[in-house]
Amino acid sequence: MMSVAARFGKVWVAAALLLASLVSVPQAAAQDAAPTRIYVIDLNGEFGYDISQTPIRQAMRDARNQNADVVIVKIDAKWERDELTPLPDTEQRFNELFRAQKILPIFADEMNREWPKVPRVVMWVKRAMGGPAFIPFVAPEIYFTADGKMGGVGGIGTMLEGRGDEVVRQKQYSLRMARAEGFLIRGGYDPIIVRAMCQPGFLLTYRMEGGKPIFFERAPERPDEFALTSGEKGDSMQAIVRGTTKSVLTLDADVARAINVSKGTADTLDDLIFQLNLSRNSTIIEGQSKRYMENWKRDLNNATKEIKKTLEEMGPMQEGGGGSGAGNTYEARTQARGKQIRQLDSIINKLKTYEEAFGPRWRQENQVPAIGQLLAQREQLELQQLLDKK
Amino acid sequence: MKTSKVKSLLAGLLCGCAVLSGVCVPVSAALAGTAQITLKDGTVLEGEIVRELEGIVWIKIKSGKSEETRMLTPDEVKSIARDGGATKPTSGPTSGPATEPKQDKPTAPAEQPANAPATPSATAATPAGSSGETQPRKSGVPRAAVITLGEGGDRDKVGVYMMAKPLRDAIPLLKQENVDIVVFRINSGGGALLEIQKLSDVIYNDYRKNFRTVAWIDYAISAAAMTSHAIEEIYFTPEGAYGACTGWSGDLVAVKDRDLEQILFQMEKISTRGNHPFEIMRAMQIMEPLSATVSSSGDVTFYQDETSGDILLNPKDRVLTFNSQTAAQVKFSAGTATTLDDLAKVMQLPEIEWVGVKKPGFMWPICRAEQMQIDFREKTARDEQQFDEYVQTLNQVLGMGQGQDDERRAKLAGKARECMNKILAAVNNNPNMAIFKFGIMPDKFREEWVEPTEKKIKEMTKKEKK
Repeated sequence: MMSVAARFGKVWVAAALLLASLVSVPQAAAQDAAPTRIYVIDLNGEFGYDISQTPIRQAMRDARNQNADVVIVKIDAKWERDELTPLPDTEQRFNELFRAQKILPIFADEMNREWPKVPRVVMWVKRAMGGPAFIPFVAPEIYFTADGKMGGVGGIGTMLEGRGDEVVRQKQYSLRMARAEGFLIRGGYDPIIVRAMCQPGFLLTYRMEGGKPIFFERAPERPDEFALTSGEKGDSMQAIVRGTTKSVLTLDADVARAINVSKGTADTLDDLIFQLNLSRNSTIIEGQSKRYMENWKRDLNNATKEIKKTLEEMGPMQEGGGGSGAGNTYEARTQARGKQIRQLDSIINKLKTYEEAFGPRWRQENQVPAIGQLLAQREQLELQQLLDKK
Repeated sequence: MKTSKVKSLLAGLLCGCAVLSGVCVPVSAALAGTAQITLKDGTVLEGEIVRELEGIVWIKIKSGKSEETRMLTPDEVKSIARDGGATKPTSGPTSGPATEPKQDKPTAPAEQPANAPATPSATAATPAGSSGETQPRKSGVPRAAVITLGEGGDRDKVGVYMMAKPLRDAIPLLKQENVDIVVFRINSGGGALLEIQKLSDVIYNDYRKNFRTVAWIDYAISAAAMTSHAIEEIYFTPEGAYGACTGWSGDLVAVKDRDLEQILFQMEKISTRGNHPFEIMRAMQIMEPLSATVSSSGDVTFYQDETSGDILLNPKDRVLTFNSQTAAQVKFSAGTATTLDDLAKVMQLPEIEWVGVKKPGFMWPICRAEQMQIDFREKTARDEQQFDEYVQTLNQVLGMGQGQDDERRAKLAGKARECMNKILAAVNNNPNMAIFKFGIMPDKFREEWVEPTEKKIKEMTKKEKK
């Protein structure tokens, strides 16, 4: 048996060792600070379809689970009418703000709510035209690639021309503009920038004072002032083709840097990490973000194919009203209706699962009826069954 | 219930306020009596103080035949004279008139109107085992609840998802949970004008008189802004937007003539409720210019032109929508807050207890009253999605009866009744469905739709004479 004194002696030694180890921890930590953990999310493809809230949310949750300190979001969204025709910078896609609104909270309120320690979010812009143009503004740090562009959100003051009364058109423009301005305010940017991006004819000039841009709603009046927009409501064909339009503001790497929207220009991830001052002690997390994005695109494409195939199969039966043609038995008709109902259910389920990506444009392109219409067809089949006679 | 408990404790309090000082949360019942309040801008208000909380005073003022309750924040009040005895505002919470307040924790803004009679804590013991069991109140710490009005996306329409009925139904739940402060988090792009007055009445007559009522604006557009306008104390999120209140219908056709004049007048009255200069709402409704000047003492003067004020808020050919910066600039917003902690700070509450249960996906705890709003919207969304289907099926079924045998007509009648009951349940949950879907006022719905439909269904089940 151990004596009390001996036991106390051992306890004291253990306590002293523990204390020593506790004291030494901060020193060790100071010498070998844990590397900053960087998580990269690549957003590419069609905005609202490939670039959508579900995979982005999955990626951000993965970043949180992997204890990321810095999240870099690279935006390179498609900006083309079709594979051969790029869209001009003056394309009026302001209303994609409402689609962007489904994505923006992921980098704002959701992050505040779900992360134990909010990470540093860096937006890295290659092509953020249309709805994606609003996304970078929610973060206080934006970088551009040398060929980066942000814009394509004109339409305020013009998009409703010819419809209804002027006062209602102004109301619609006003509420849209205030919403867009809000996202810039949240990220710490001057909201006047987005007015110039969205409103053709809005004349915006700036000059630098103490390293900060000062904006004016007028033409330049001094040699150190520069016009960001022309104040005209439209642009010449030459300017449209050459990508030098100025009726609305399109941010490129230089302009964005000049007015302090962009903190720097980087073409490679290494370059960006260097500019973020993280190259000495950082590590890039091998996260799942790429897999989430690819899976999402694959699932959407598969669902689209399956829906189209099912609709093709159903085509003649829809017209036949549930297979009630002459010569069919009651059992055969019942079976046929059962099959159609299952097919409709399968389509409806897919449409609901991928609702965020299967918008009106997708439905039109793929000739898919709205859910309400499919539900009505389903109900019709059930009524036919109710009234059918053996 | 809280009120009766407070009243019963009041008699004891008036005798022994010295004993009770230090644990008080002043409530209205203790404060009845005339008072004269001098504001920092020199205005003197005379009336009955009906409630005090955290330095905020509610005073009922009579003007001719009308009566109005105004809420005054500590920032506005210079002094209060109760029944002739003038007092100066003090820092720290108030307690008994003759005692030195001894608060456990400072809960009030820097400047407070003094001399509110001490009252007991409003904590009401909830019957054991009841679903209304609440956490005990921390002494001197106000309890606040967040109630969402609209949740953005597809569930934000005023008159459909944002309605007076569920809001009124929520009040007993808030009282059960001993809530002092109600924060309305607004996220709606607008909706039906017909609901505005009802919502305004509930907020003004029921909420503001029972709770310190605050709006926290994320997105309050059109009817949502007009609803929020009955609230005096307004905060914004950084991305908050408020305004664009032009009435319209169809393909962007404006409300005109007498109808327009009526809405303008209605909003002038609601502006008075919220103590907001009417010029602000007017510039949000029609293309009228608005500028403002903020004096060195912080007073804001509005001008209905572009040039008289230092700050141009709305050019003459535009409609006004505030963002969080412009709203704060002219003091329409009392502060900007991203999180609940930020909000408590701008509300000048060093300590606050948020009532409710934390749930994933929500930035604030969900109290029972808020759960009620969520459930209401959920049911409305389900009904709205399927309502047209119910109606379409019902009409089809009613038209299919002819030529069918008794057995099939009975089956069809069963189906018709099922559809009718679903429609009825949807209208019961949300009476405005009667208006939007059938063009029938809710109080006429039974008479004009339910009874004739029932009759048609009954006729279907009548057996044919052979």
